[in-house]
Amino acid sequence: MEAFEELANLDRLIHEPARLAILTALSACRKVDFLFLQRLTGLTKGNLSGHLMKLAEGGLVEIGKGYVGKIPNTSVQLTDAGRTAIERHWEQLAQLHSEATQWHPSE
Amino acid sequence: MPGETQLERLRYVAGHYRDLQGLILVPFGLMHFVSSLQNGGRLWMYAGDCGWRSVWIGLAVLLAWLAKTYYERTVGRAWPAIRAGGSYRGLMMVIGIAFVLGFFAAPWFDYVVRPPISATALVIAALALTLHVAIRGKFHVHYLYLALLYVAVSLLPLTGQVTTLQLVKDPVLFGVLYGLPWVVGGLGDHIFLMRSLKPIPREAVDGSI
Repeated sequence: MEAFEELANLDRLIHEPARLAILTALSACRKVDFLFLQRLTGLTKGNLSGHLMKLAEGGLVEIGKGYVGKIPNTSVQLTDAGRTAIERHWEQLAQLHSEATQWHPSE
Repeated sequence: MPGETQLERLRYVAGHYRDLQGLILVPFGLMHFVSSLQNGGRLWMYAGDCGWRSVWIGLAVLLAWLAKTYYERTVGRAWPAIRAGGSYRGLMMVIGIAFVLGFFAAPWFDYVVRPPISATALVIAALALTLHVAIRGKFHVHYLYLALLYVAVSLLPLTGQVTTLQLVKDPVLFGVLYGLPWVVGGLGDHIFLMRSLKPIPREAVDGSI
């Protein structure tokens, strides 16, 4: 039963598939640009923007606007809170996975 | 939720994006090959004609720069997390030593001592294996295949088809021996990267990002 209680505690802001993919990619980098995230996740521009706005509102990512030459460029990076949150989320998932594989019907 | 392996792969590609820009390596392999053909089986840095040497190096650097620009425009830019741990620095040192041995000491050893198996090919195999085990990880295995190929090449003199001396003196054999790892490694990295990415979004093609 503990595993199901843990499930309820998972952060839904992070656990949504697209946002989990975005945060997982960001956790391996200091900073990435918008195009790179699009190529990695396959999300459309509007969809990715929407997810990034939600993550920024939640204080998990920081969005920067600038220029590369004369072309506008958007860069994204995890905040310290975001890095902590995604690491904790992975730990929770690993724990759930471990509990689920050890569970037997007789218990 | 995306599969665990899918996320692991995504994290790997994001963290190793700079290592995976393989087209940057390819011109240097071609430079070794062409230079070896032109200089009778000598490395480009020992080539007598300074003018041609500059042309090949300049061309390789220009093509590598174009490849880098291509990645920036079509895939984007990413700055990997700093990997400054003790084990990573140690690993880089081992790779650096292997690289120097492979390029300078091993051909000299083969030329002077003429051992029964090719030390040059063996050092390149060791370098490819180190890259596979330590940096490239489990997701793509072409550095492992490259290592196995070079172990086989190092044993070739035992068959009597080719001598150790020929491998470092023959312009074609020497050019291939030194050029192939750059080309195969680079193309393997590039193919892996492209397979891991999703199609270019329309907005990027239009140039509006």
